[in-house]
Amino acid sequence: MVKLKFIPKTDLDYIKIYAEELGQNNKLFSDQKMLIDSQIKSSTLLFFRMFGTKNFKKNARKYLKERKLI
Amino acid sequence: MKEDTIIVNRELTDLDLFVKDFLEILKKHCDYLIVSGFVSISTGRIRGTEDIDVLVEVLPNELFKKLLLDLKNKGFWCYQGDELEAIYPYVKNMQNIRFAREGQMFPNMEVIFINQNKKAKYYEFTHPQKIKIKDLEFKIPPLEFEILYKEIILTGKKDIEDARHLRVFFKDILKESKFKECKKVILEDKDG
Repeated sequence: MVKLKFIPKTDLDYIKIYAEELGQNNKLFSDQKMLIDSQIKSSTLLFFRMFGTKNFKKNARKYLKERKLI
Repeated sequence: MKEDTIIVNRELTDLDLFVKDFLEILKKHCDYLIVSGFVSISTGRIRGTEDIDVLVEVLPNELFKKLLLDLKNKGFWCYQGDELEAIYPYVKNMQNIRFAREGQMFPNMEVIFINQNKKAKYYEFTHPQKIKIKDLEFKIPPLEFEILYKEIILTGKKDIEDARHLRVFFKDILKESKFKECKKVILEDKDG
């Protein structure tokens, strides 16, 4: 349980509290790892479904061009 | 801190492994600096990211050709094209290019080309800070520079939040004199 030194009101308050706690308890890094790994797995699956494997690059570039990202 | 290196004691994420694989290739061909979101994320900030920004000095055609070939052989693809002729104009014109693993869109490395005319970016590039997480070691800007650049130049919500994270998490090692030095460089570049 995190003992709060003040009542957080804004997003920046929460970031401050989290960063302070992270400095004391590095087990919080494992939550971060779960989030990041899960984000990458979901993204890989999503684009595999969208673009397939055979023409992945061609389909991906078409998608990026349509959105003016390249 | 151990000597001049920041040590972060945690397990590597899939994002770290992606960066590690890319940097192992990049480092063989040129110098680099990891900047922006990944600096905060690698030190514990919880937020999603799609790309990792890396500064590289503009490379001559022949050097870039070798880098591109190496990246392709190690399973990376470039958003902007497959052949040197398609990609090098971006390098020459200092436009960003992106690389991801074959069969993936994200995460990707956004390569930002710089030269000495980009004063602030060149300053951070030439004043790197080393950081180590397990066997992943890489270079980032001075923390004071990274914080101020986000607060003064970038100023988006996530940038201000990243800066706050860095200010709190690294409060014991940040130096006021370094803030002054970095602020001067950033403001000169901004106003110049």
